[in-house]
Amino acid sequence: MKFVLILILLGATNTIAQKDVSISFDLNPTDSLAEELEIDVFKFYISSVSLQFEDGSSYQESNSYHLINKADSNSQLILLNSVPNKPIAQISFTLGTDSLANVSGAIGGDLDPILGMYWAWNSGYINFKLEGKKGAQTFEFHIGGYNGVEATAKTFSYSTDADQEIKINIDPLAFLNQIDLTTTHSLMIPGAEAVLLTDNYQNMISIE
Amino acid sequence: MSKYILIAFAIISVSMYSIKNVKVQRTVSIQTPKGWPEPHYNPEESNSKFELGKKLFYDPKLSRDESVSCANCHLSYTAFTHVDHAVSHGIEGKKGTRNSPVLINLAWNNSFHWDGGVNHLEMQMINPIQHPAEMDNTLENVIAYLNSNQEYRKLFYAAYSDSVVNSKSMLQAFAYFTSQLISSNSRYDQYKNKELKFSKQEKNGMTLFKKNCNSCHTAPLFNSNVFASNGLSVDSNYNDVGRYTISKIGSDSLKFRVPTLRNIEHSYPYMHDGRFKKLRDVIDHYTNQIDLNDPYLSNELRKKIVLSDDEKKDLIAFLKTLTDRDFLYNKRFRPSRQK
Repeated sequence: MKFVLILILLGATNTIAQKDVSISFDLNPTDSLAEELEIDVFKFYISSVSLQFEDGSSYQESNSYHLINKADSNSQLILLNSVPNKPIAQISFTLGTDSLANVSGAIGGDLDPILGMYWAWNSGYINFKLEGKKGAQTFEFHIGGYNGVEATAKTFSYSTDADQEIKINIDPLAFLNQIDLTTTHSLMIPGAEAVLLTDNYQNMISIE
Repeated sequence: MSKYILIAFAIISVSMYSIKNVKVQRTVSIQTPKGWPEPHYNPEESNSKFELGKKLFYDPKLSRDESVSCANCHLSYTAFTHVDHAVSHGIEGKKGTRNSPVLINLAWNNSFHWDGGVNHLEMQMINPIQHPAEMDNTLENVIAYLNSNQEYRKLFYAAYSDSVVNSKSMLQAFAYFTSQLISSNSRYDQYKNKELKFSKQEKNGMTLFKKNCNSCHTAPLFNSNVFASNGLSVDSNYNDVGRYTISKIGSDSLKFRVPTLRNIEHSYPYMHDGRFKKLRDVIDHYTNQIDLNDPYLSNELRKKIVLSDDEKKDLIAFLKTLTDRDFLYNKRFRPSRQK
């Protein structure tokens, strides 16, 4: 019986080695033509952050909802605490919010509707907001929608050999360059057009 | 050594038992009336949240110019709507585009607004606060006002153990109060509970109701959580296409919420734009004014409803049995006396 107790104690005290992992977001355009771009608002949700390790296991951040905002540098860093100290193979995250967040009533923190990322008249989060001027053309894109065919949250996975610091570039110009702004420059409702615009996410994301 | 393990287990199980007991002691705020479905929203009972939500409901300082509270368009005496007003009136006399709905048995609704655009009771309140023709305010302003007010800070502390107000606690307090506006003691309910008898006219009206109305305005809630077109022509002032605005599905054009008929006697005018002043006008619409070939018309109305003059009177007599005086004159729903 003594032996059993020692085993229990060992299990409790001998914690697995852990590390902190930071994910930083760079929201600046990488292209030199960026001079003609003025950005007034650029913010979006990153959710369901997870790491996949080389041994096939994974780490899932709990309550994983982050509003990344160009106007708030503190928001551009996600810290994952107590991550198993194992070599990371891949990072996955969702750009946008899952439907659970959209149907659960009032939520605080980064999902607080006071943060200007919520549609009250047609309940749901604005997953991605980009407003400004490119050349002479103003634009405002509010992309959201969670329900069925209107869902705009998209999940991305990238392999990485980073150990503790992962850097992700989200390039607003790369998003805009895929759009003919003379015909499409304003969208503020969920629907097919919003879903179509999420096709542009892939090219705007890159990882160091 | 095994003795110690046993003692440890005993302590753990006793503490787990007591934690479990605490949970059992918490009661939900809504006791489902006999024969009703379970509500969609049923927060834990809390008198402090009720009082806080009520204070917010009656506070005009939530509007931009401090002139309009929720109760301006949702008066307790009239089933929490605004009688004699076709559409809602906001600050500076601005007019909305829809008739302010009754606030009755909202805990059983799975969406809100005439077009069902709001998916959760807690999120409804953002709309009137922000709407330019209603309170025309911002959530930031409202939260700042509440945080600057000592009395509110005390009430929020009592309700949420935190005197710092945030939108989550504010929205939940609103939802708490509005979820408690339950009407379940009309003469109809008393009849169903065999506490009274209906007159011959009321009985006949009930038979007519079951035959012609109940498939959409379904007892016991006398509504349905779907959207339907009842053949009303589009009001050219508003061009309101209803549910289509939200769903963008063509067949949802001109569909609106099927509202509850509870307390209908007191919640005139009727329809999403308040175009009918009297119950008789509503019934005349259903019997005489529907174009049966209207492509948007709901299937339930494709067969002409035929009612004689006396039958219309009987039907109205039945609709009046849905009046719940305990609900309309419930002092608990009225503002608490100011200190």
